[in-house]
Amino acid sequence: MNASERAAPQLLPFERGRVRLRDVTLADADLLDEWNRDVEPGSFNDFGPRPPTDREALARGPLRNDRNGLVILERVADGTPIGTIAWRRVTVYGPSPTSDAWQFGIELIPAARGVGLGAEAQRLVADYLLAATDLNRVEAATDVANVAEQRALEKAGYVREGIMRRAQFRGGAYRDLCYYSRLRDDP
Amino acid sequence: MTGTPVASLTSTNRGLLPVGGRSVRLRDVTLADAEMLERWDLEREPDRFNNLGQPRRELPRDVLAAGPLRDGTRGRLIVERLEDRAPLGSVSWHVRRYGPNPESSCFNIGIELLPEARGHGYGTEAQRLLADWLFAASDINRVEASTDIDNLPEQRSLTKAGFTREGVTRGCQWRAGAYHDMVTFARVRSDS
Repeated sequence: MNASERAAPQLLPFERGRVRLRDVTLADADLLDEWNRDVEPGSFNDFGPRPPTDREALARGPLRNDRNGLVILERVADGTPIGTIAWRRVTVYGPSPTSDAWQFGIELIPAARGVGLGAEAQRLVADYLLAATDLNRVEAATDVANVAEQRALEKAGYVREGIMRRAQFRGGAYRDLCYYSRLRDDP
Repeated sequence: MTGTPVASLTSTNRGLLPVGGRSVRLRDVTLADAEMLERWDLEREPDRFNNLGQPRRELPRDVLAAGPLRDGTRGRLIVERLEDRAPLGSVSWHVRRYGPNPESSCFNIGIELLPEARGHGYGTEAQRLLADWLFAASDINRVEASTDIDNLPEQRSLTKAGFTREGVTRGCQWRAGAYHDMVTFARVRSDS
């Protein structure tokens, strides 16, 4: 962990426009469990039953370290939680930690979809991760059939890079994954 | 990488070696190769695409004495010229995950050839052999390779070896004091 990553907590909550990222607290555990139970079967994020929220970890502090993190996404207007963003450090691009990247995933509750909040949130998380750490690259991968998420990433300023064929196994079949990224120097 | 499911998907134990093509073959690394491989590491050209400032590491003699350099997470093989069994370089692979479940694992491969072994098509043949062998030896569905966007010989070689160019991963690799774009190529089991 470098100095800038230890300094990251003071950046949260992090907000712009209609959305805010904030740390998960113990008070959110029941809500997260409910959301995890309600993942629509067969949806792009359905990889089977999820374990219960780790309340012991939450009692110790936010769900965030130098390897990964999970934050709550809130609507600024009324402070309502509308979903989560999770990220992890990807270490596949080279032996030096300087080659690491952040890969994130977003989940919005159905009531919050289709009004551009996801795009705003995904721009926000890139800005947050690039401000909070020294890494150069924030990436997201989505199923080629998930056209809504691809549109949201493009609206959020991510660049479409390519398609990793048959990379992900979901719902009994291998799927093509579409890759997007934002770099520190991107406009 | 932990857990039986992953290890069984990505194990290459049923693969038979050596495996040969027209002019090269792939064989397991043995204890007798240790000094040669360390010498290759030391002599790696400073300005090459594979020079990423890796720390010089001694090869684990105890591991080599116990068996080949491959397990459920990674492996390395020697590339030899068929006619005189001269070692030309090595190929390697490691597991990469594209999802939370073990089935979303694939192999990411790499190659290093001695300078005098380049430009003869040995690398193309070695990479095709490696992909064929990995599909036969394991239950993995995808074999991929990434190379610097400026490494045109390797991109031509991967194309000739039957890999499909999938995209450019921007600004992902730190090498020689700057970020570099990488190109990803892949073969999947259903490719002809």
